[in-house]
Amino acid sequence: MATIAQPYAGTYPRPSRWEVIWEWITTVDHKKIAKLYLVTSFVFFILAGIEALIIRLQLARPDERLISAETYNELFTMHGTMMIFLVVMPLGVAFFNLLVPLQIGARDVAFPRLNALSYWIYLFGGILLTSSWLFEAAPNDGWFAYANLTEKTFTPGHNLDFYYVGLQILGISSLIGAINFFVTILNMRAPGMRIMRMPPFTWMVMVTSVLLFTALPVLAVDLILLMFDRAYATNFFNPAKGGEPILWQHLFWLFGHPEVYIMILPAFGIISEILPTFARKPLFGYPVVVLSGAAIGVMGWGVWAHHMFTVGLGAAANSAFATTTMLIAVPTGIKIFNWIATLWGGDLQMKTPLYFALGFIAMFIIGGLSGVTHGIVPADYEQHMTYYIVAHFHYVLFGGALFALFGGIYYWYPKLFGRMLDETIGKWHFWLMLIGFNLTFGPFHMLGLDGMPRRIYTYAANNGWGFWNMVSTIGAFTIALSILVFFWNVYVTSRKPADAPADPWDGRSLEWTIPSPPPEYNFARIPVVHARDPLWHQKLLRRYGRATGNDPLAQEPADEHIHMPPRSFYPIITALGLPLMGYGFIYQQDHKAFWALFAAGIIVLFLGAFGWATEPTE
Amino acid sequence: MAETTEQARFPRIVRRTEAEHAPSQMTYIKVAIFLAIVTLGEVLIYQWNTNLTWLYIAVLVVLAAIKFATVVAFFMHLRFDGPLPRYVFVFGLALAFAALGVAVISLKAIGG
Amino acid sequence: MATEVSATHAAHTSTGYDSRKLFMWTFLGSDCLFFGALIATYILYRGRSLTGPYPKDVFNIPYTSVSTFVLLMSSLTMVLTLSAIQRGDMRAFRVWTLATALLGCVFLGGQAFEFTDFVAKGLRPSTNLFGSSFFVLTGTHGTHVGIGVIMLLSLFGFSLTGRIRQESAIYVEMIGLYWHFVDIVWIVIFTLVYLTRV
Repeated sequence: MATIAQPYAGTYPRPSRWEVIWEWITTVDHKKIAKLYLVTSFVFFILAGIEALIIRLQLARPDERLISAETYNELFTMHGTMMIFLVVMPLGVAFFNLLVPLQIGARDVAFPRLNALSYWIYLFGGILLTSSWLFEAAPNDGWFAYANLTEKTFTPGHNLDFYYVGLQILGISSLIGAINFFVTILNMRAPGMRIMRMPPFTWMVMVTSVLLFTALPVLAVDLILLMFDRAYATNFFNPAKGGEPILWQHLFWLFGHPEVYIMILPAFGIISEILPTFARKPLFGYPVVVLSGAAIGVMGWGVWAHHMFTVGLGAAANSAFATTTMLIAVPTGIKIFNWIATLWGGDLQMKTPLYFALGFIAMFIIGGLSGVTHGIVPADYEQHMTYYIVAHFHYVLFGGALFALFGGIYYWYPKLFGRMLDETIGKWHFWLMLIGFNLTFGPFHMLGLDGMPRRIYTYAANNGWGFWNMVSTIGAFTIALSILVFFWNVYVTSRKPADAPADPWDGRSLEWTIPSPPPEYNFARIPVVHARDPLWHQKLLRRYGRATGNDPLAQEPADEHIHMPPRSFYPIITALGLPLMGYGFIYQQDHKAFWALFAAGIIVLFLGAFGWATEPTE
Repeated sequence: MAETTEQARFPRIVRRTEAEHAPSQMTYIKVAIFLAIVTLGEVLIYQWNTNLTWLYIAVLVVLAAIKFATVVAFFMHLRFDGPLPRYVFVFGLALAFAALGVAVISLKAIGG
Repeated sequence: MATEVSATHAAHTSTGYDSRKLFMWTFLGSDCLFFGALIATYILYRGRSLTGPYPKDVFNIPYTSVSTFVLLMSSLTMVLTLSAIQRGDMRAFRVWTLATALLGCVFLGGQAFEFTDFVAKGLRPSTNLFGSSFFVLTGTHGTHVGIGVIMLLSLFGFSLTGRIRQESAIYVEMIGLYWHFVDIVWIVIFTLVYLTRV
């Protein structure tokens, strides 16, 4: 470690730019990693958002010829793929990183270097996937890439190769992260932090992690089958040799349906954190809320073929999956009732996080209801492949997950950055986003039921779809404006001093007991937990003069030396091996020389792993 | 100081030490011999059998399951570890059977 | 009194399990779904190849049963490896580690020979459904074995430089779990692919 010169007592020279970059490259601190995920997801959010805006420009009027049909296919494929894998999921992981150790009273996750590895793999995988645009080979068969359109004979070019390589790499990042957080939550809880005392967000992270490490392997296999069909002429989806394209769909949706719960459960967790704080009442029915989250996770494995009702699986299969789909609405409905009950009779603090949470409840109910209508098989025969479906999933993923994530950003911004986002600008952001969102996606219900199919790059004027499409496009640009307002808020806030208090919202959980932003070691003394909502519990005890000695607000350091894991260079090195292998594999199909790149990637991977295994961890 | 925090933590969790429960080397060798015998039995059944009947498949699947469980219980030590690793592993295994089983059945039903 | 040091003496975790061990068991639970999907694909396509070669044209069950036996015995040597390091017997540890890696290589060699034999008989991944599903399933399994062999040889190398000592038994245990898992996947493959072949 470089010695720090101290010309004056009590002052330190500012770190150089290179020292700062090195610090970020080698960090294993979950809070820094959370910031990395946050910033990176927003970069991809802008890119995927621009893709959406171009789509909306193309569809605003009938017979528009702004872009070609081929480019349109790439646009909607990449918009969906990027939003799911590079935006919503990583934003969720940003919150996992920030909150899980803090909420359970730990100093970091179970495997800090693996945590960093997950981030770097995400970054490199995301770059590889997005770089497909530069190679004029962006994936173009939909984010779900149904076989056998994806076979080489029907989709030549490298578009799908970028798809399966990119998603395989991203899957590794999520898989490692899921197991990491699962072990962290089970093994690193502070004394007294029983499972049924954990904050609801951490509970949802636990369920989400289980979904991730069970569902991702199935997608991995599906992608491997596609890879072999395209690169080595195997016959998994080749009907000419007896292959079954529907196998792709089964394996894809076996992953794909748990995937939507992977995206929404963290959002549910965020809502369950925000509502009690701003209603100044405990979460209503906590055991039921967390257990229904677990139930959704388990039942989510039983509904996948509701994405395949029109494939021809037969009445028995369709009926079975329709039934399970109806049933899964029950635990979700239970949560919504509990959230409403939490608000009921509460002393509502109308701050920006609560606005987003309320917006979430309203939008998610709409999206959930349209989802229930999809579960009615004959109705789905009309809805499938129309904009009605697009309406549904945007209401639950944008109106749901993204609203909750923004609420979480406003709520925990002071904890992570030491500054409070501006309330007034926040409310402008909220209302513009809510109005823009409903203008964009509300019309899709009508358009869908009026017969407008998905994935068409233009439509004739005599369909009568022009008006609502124009409304939708205006809405999309309103959303874009609201995002600019949000960035303005971030900018304005960055100019303010970082003087946010430890507990600006009168919070309930352990993250509010430590400074904003927290010191690297989080807790000077690991707290001992005696109840759910431990901080409210402490505050109430103190108010009634019954505070115990183990006050979690105590800041004096403990007797023992606090040992934090050292920084490491090897996660980023190890991660770098993967895109090298990826590009190498994609292009070796054109020129055998690219096997050298693939081999170089393996070598980098091994060097990284070897260095990792042998570096000192003390 | 650390000790009291430890005890305050989870007094009901029994310290898991493997030394008390680790099988002896002889046990491992016996298990290996058992596995070899079962494998030999499977191959003999294969050689003697001419038709791919449901009984034949069932017997072989049962034998495979026995070998599977034996390796998991003894070599992977799951029999002696507490419940948590068992739950995690069995959950993955059961989910694989259930979900993929339904998918295969559904595909076979329409594929013919 | 036993002089053994238990591999996972009282971990300071909320559950009492060492985090690294729990990590590996969770990973293996997830790997069940991975191999499950591959095996499901094989089972789906069993008997549906439109053209040959078919399993009965290429399989040599006595040959493969030797491979199976080799892998089973490697599980034995693996568990003896763990037992050795838990006792602190580093010499025995190295012997058994090398033996396990060697048996793994023999298995892989057997697989490689089998693959080339099948290709010579006209079965490639692209030939028919049997070729595709067989090579991808067993190839993926073989890759898992290969990664295991590399980990074992790394253990061996690290023990020579003193990096792996009795206190590192947890890592041997983790690699052991992985190795046994690869073995039990083969147990399933041997029955469902070879012995119950159509």
